[in-house]
Amino acid sequence: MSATEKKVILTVDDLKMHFPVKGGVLMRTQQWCKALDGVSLRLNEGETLGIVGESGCGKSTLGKCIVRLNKPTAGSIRFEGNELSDLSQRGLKPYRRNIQMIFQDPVESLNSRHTIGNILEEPFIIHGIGNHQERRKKVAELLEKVGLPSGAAERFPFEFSGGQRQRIGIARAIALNPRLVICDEPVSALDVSVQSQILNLLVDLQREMNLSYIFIAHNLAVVKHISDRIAIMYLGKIVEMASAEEIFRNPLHAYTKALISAIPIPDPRRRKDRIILQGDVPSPINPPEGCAFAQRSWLPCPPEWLNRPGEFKEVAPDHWVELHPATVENYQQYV
Amino acid sequence: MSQEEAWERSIDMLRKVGIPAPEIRVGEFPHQLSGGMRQRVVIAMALALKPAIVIADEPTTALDVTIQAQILELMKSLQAEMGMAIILITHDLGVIAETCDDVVVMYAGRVAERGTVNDIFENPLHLYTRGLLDSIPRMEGTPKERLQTIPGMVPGLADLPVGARFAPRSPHPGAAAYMASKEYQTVRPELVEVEPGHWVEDCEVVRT
Repeated sequence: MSATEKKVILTVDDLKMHFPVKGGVLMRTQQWCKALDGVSLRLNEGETLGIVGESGCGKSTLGKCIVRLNKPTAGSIRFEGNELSDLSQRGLKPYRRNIQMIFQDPVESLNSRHTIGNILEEPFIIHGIGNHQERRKKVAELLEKVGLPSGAAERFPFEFSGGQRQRIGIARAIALNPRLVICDEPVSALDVSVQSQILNLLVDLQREMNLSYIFIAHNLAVVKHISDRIAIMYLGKIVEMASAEEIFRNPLHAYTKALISAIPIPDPRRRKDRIILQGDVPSPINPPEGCAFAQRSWLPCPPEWLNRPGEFKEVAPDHWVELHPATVENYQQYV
Repeated sequence: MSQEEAWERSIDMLRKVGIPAPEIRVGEFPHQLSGGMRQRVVIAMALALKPAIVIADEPTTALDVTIQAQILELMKSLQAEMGMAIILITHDLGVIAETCDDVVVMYAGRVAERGTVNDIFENPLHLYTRGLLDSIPRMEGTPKERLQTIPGMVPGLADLPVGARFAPRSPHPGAAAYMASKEYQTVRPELVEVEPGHWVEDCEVVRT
């Protein structure tokens, strides 16, 4: 199937999530933290969209908005054509089973007082599926699907290693046959030797269940491995988005270039010259006017562009980039 | 050293590790600094007394790649300037390849293999080292292809055998027989020097 024939499962349009920053004697809202400041993306069925960016750039907030753990300040989230951004908790319930999340920390995300069987049975109870016996059968099937022994159901989370706990987190996420799974740094806390087991499992489950993934991570080699398309985030915005191949072969945004050059390559003969960015990511509280990356970029910013934001534009088929003199070399050729 | 001198020296150290406006930052609290800056401060503290050895335990694991590159570059330039030795503890093979001269691969409390960075990456002799190198996704790899894995998991440290600890996860055909043998219960394999400076655990079933 070509990209155009694929069914779009999720569309996010100009999504904003502004958190109030309270302060002063009366704890009034004094400032706004603009964690997401106009994010747009789409995801096709059965596809993986990787989301990459430095910590604090808003990638986890984006994931939480899509599963509606956060209620976005503005913008639209459409899942299979249905608008989710302004639904109430009750209105969201039919969608909850279709959109699930896998968290970074498999230890923190499991209730330590419940057995694995109880943890995995819970989604079925909440959605009123089956009787006790049927649910237990489903739990056993789930355990097998994610490669855990059937005896695991009677045991507690602390009895498992990090990799196994992540398998439990994955089993919980796929319990109700979801359509879309948000994976928020699912392998960042795991050892290298276990990481590859979990990545293989995620790829297998995607093929088997036709899952769509949003895969949030900061390890670019991992993201490149698992993603069909990749979005690069910087300070609450997507600054570049294209197919995984295109992003690495033809990165246009200065930040994408710096990210790719900063990846440590596990080959001592290939120590290379890298672009070392100066400074830190600016704060999302009172972000800089205009282009957020300009102050860290090595490309000159003409004075008339100082307070002007870039424009997120499709410069080649399905290759989007924030066009600004400080972000894209020879930006004129794309205008 | 008087308190004023110590304060001045602190400012010097902050400047040395690349903190902008150190005269102002020196009076701030940790929560006012970003993650990368906090790591710089910790490096400044570690280096203040001009140590001969610095042990850096996962110094960049919590940082993002662009900040990680800054911190590693900083550590390398400070090492060139001050001449200290660095023991860098990490599970990121890319970081090791790019920053280290010599590598010790540990497994379950013991050294599995030791050598120069080129020895380890180009001619791994231990099956655990080989397994680690094979299981990481490569930038030049095919998307979604099956990654190699090391079967099983790291053993608990409470109940370890005397023999080669990687044996239960070893793909070597003789592993099962070795684990049934008396040798596994009683003999701890020593490290042998296979080529100059390149050492490996001397047990057939865990070697490549």
